[in-house]
Amino acid sequence: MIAYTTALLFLIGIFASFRVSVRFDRLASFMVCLLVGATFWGFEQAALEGGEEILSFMWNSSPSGDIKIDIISNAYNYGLILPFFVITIVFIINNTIFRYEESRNNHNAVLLFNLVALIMMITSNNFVQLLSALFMVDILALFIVKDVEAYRRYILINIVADMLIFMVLTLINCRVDTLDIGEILLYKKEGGYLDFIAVSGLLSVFIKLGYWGFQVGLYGLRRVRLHRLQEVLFLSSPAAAIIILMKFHILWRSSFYYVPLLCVMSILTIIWGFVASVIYNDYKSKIIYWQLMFWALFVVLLNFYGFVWSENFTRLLLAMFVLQLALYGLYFYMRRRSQVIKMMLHPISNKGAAYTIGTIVTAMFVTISGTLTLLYNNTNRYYIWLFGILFTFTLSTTCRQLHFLFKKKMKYEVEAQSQSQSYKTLFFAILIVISYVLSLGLPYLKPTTWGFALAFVVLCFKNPLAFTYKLYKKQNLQNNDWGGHLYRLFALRPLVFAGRCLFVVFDRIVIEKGIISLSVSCGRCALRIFRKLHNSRIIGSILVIILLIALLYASFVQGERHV
Amino acid sequence: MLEQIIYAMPLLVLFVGIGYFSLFEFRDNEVLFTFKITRLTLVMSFVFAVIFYNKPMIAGLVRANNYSLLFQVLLYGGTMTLLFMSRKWFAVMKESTHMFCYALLLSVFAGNLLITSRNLALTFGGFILLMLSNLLFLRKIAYKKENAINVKIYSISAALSVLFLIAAIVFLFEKVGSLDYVWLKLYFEENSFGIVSFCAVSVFILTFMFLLAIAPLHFWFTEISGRVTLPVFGYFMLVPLSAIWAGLIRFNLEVAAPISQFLRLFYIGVGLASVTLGAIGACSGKNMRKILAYSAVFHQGIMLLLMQYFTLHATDAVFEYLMVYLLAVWGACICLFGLKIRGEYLFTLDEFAGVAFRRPYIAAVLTIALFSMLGLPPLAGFWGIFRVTEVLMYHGNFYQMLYLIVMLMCMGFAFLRVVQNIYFENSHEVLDKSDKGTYVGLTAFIVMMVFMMCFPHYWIENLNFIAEGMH
Amino acid sequence: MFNLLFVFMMVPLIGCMFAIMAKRNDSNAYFVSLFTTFSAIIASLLLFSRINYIGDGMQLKYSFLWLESMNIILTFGMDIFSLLMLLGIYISFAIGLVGLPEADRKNKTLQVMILLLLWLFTGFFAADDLVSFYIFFAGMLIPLYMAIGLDGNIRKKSTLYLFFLYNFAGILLLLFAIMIAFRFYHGNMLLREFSLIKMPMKVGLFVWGGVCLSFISRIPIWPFHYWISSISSGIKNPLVYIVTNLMPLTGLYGFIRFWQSAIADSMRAYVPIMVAFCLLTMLFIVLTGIARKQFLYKLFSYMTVYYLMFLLAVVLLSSIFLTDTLLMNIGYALFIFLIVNSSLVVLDLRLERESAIHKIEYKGVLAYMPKLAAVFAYFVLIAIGLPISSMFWNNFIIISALFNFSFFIGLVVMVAILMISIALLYELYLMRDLQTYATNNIEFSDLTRSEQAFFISIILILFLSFFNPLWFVF
Repeated sequence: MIAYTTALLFLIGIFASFRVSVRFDRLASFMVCLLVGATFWGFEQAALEGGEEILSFMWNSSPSGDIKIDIISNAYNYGLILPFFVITIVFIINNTIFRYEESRNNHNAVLLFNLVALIMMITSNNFVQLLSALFMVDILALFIVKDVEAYRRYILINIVADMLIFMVLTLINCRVDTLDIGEILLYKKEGGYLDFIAVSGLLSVFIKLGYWGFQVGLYGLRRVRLHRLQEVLFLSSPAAAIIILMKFHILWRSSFYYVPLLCVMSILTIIWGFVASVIYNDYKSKIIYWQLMFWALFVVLLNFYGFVWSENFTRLLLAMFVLQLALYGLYFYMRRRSQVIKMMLHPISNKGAAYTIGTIVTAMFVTISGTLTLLYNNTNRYYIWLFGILFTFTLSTTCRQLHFLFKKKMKYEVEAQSQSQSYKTLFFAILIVISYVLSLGLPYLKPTTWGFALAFVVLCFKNPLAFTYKLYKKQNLQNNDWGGHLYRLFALRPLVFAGRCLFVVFDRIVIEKGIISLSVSCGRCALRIFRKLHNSRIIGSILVIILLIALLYASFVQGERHV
Repeated sequence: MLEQIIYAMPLLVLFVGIGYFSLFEFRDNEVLFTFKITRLTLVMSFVFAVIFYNKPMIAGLVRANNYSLLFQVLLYGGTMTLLFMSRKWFAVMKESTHMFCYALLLSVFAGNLLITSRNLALTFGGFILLMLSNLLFLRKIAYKKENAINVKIYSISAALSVLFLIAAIVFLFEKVGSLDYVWLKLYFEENSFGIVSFCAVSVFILTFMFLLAIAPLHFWFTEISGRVTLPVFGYFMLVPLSAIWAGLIRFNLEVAAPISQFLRLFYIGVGLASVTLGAIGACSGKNMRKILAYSAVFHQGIMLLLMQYFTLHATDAVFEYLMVYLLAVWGACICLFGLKIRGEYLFTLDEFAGVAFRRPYIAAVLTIALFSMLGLPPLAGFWGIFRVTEVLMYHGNFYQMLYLIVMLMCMGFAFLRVVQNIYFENSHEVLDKSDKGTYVGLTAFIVMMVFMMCFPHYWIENLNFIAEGMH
Repeated sequence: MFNLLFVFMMVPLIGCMFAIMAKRNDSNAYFVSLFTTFSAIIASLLLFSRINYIGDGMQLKYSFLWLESMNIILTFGMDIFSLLMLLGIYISFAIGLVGLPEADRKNKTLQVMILLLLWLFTGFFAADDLVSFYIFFAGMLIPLYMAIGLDGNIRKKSTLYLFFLYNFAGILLLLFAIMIAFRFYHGNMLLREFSLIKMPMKVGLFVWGGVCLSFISRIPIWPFHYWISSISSGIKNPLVYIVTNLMPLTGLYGFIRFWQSAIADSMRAYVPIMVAFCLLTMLFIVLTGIARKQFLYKLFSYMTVYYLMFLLAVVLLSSIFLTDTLLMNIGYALFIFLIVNSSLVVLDLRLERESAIHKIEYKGVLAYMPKLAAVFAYFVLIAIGLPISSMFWNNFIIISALFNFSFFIGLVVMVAILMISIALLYELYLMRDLQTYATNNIEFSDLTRSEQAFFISIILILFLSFFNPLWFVF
């Protein structure tokens, strides 16, 4: 039952969040691995048994009804949770094997809490629960990223997305007067602002997925360590975006703008991902853009399948994950050099590892293309072709360099890695096991299954995009933060300018120079009259006596009138 | 006859005191002695006044009741305080106290006449004596060259008003055949009257206003207040006000009530003028005493606004307002007596800079007194503004109230300047040590303030009772 | 026998008496204030246990005849909403006192004024009739003015004048309004009866105009925001800042109490104007906040936006129905809002002081103080409405209600909240910038262990409220 799994994961997370000394860190991390593994096993058993159970308890009350915590266990949710669970476990294992973090255990805790938040999102049936979990995912991203500079842009853009979702849900809630996600279709009957809701919701999803135009958040993460980056790319905002899309597409798709917007933005993202991953020298940037391309395709595919999750989507997601891990391995063996151009100068020392990685990458190409072949029939095929071709080209552009590296003679002996060989073997073994599991049931007889893999291998030797390597040396292109500039130019500066103008106009001119100055002038004028009256006493006295007599007379006349 | 003489004891004692000072002139170094005599006279007079509070000396001339007692208490209280606080000043300045005490007793005598009078002739007598004592204060005690013009204005105005008063008395006597308030009231109730009769009554009201320094007849008072010595300033703020108000209210209710419709616009006009000029005047200068003088003009303007209604409700509100105002003025004056630098009492706002750091208690009380005058709760002044608003709203005078709000803000600005100087500015001047009497007075002020705020029924309901008696 | 509520109300006043008697130029008065504030917190927790949540209207009532001739019976009582507000205020005061710099702790007058304010706040939230409400509403002006003047570091005299005069006008307008009501009711009345008085349309306009203007004078609605914005931008004393920024709460609470039963017919036509001003102010203040560089000003913008959001909720929903549940949602959100604001003010002013001492740029200052940075970041995240306090889901419900009233209003509120949240977050990460830290080697005085424990306990209070806003009630 998912509720038990969630509770267990949460408890393990709490256990993992205790700080242990460096000596016992790996041991504690290993313990966490085992516990999470055991929980996964229990989860799998429950998934296989099937059945539906709902854990629901009241949290608070609102004018729209009770706010409940729901954890719904059904086959669909099991299927949806599975890939994220697997990815989390692999990251934890990875973290245990390699010394990525100063405190492995605490990092594991963050990953576990993140998984719990994702599960809460997946199983939620209530707006408040969904939003709480969504925001939690974003907050936990800070602990995953652990880099203030990198996180700044990420969270700023994500908070916009979160607020957009927040707004969409408040709008739905106000019309249908319920917090139940299952009843959102009632909104269609109530009508009003459906397009607004759809566009805002999609915008939020695009931001979280790092779609074209909104990639600055994820792109800003290129500063952080690669494993953290990959954790965010798979488990943080993009995962949350997918879940949101799956929950609300049913309502949003009623809008006229939904499909065009989704498709156009996905195509743009795939194309932009391709262009950016080709021109950037930075390895992490390439990894980000590959992932963004993948998410764009993934969303389109999900849309064509009506957001009905199936094992093919799990396979596709996990295949991409393994591919990314293999690319991480490459990075690791290149002594964590993030510039592709530098990788050329310092070739890889461990040929065995290099060939293993090459094989896994190719195998994952087979798996991805095989899965896409399975998904091919019910979809608009252009997307698959577009993605397949561009992705193969861009990945091979980088891997071609790697091919050179493998072949080149070593200029000098690379220092021995700090990790012992057995751990690395374990890492590869895990990748191979997952690759094997993923390859089960693929349509091997179909040419498309092998087509992309073959194209990839061929392109690694002879790539027509080789001319783009020249761009790697162009510092202006490589170091320029175009996205940031554009945001500053079109979003931040106009706001600051507007703020200053308003401040000057309303505070300085209208209030200070207008209202207050006017009041002060009136006061001064009154004082001047007053002083004149008092300084020229004789005239003043005569004047006031005349006024007094006039007043007395007026008073008498008025009295007579009343009488 | 003996009985009447006994009932006249309060006045007789004062008369003896005045006579004593007229016959014997004391030397400059006999400060304590003159003050002792004055104090003794006042105490005895007050005791008799309290004992025979409801026994009129001559039934046709004066009316003695709880109303007169209330104002006598205020009159004697103010005078005693002034006497008590001024002693130090005279001791330090080595000024002659003879004329001060003489004029003070004369003023109290006149005040007693005004408070108890039910006859125009007696009121006239009260006016004459009060004008005379005022003149003594201005010419003999605090005379300065720069005050000459204002003293002249006062003297001329006083002389003119006396002439007009005589004319009015003669006219009314011819018309009514008596100067008794009751007969005058009956005359106005039962006969149609012309503008001359109206003017005759108005002359009395104007004289009251002149002595109260209600705008636009305030010129002499505000200008002089800013320049005279502190005891004289204290006199104008503490002594005559209660007596004149007692006379005005009684005159209003016992003589002018039948012509209330004819006076209403006049009261509104003068009240608003007073409020306006008082508020603006208070903002105009840096002289602390002038600010307080203008504030007196302002507050009396408010009371005059209430008097437009001639109802029990409004009279009651006037009583309450007067009480809380006098209490605040009393506190403020005591504070002024407690603040001096090298023997010189603080005068301008700049001199008040940083008083809070050196005399925190006095500064706090002065601030409380000023804020109380603005009617801010939880200070006793709240009751004043509360009742004023209540009466104005009861009669639906929304616009007058809104105007009053604007003017209250102006007045607030004037007081803020004082408070800002006291608390938020600093100066390195060393203040002289304040005597214990000041602190006793301030403590009494605070106790009364707390009492008036927390237990309003003790005094407000008694005032209601007195007001009911008046009607 | 003394009523429990009466004793509760007297706690700050007794503390004030002690503070008056304390030595000058010593920290005695400060410790009296601290002790009184914590006593008041404990007393309020005790009161919570005596109050029935579901109970209708004010509870623990007591009243006494103050002035028979005018039929003035003062009535005091508490409901869960007002008690929650009071607890929030007490905690804010405690935060302000803890964050008070050493030098300011010796200012006895300030402590006396603060305790006086505490008493007035208590009376204000306990008041159930018109006169007592007015007295406590108006009474706050003097101690607040004194506190700001004494320790507000206000350079421009005119700012203080404006502050006083704006508020003074508001007070007089309220008096004006309630005295008209007196005429129609023939005496003092309970607050909830106010909106039910029948009066002619024109008179009603005067009454409600006065009431609204008086409450608005406390809430930073343009152009009335000027006093609070100009005061807030100058204050460097955390306690005074906190107290100043509690004033809008009194205006808001006034609207809640006066309009709880129904919105007056005479005012209905003018509500859109008020709403328009609220919305414009929101956008204006947010943009101004973005343009200004100080975090404190951004915090002021944030406060304004939230106060206005609550005000809109109260005003708009009163015209349809302000349910008890929604009112409680507003209360829960306000409770968190008050505490978070106070904490951020204290922490930010501390940062400003430290950066001024070490002549370090504001950018990256948090990097020098890791403990403070961690606490600060939590508070910012709570402030922007992330689900680590009950403010998150209460905001959801309030904004949803606003959307229900009008799409446009909801949208503007959301935009304002979004922009100010981004501004706060941006500033937070700007302050955590590590670039300057890398080049300097300066020892900053970070939070002490006890201060850290205090702020962590505050965070805990807020975090637990996420699960149950009244978790502390037993």
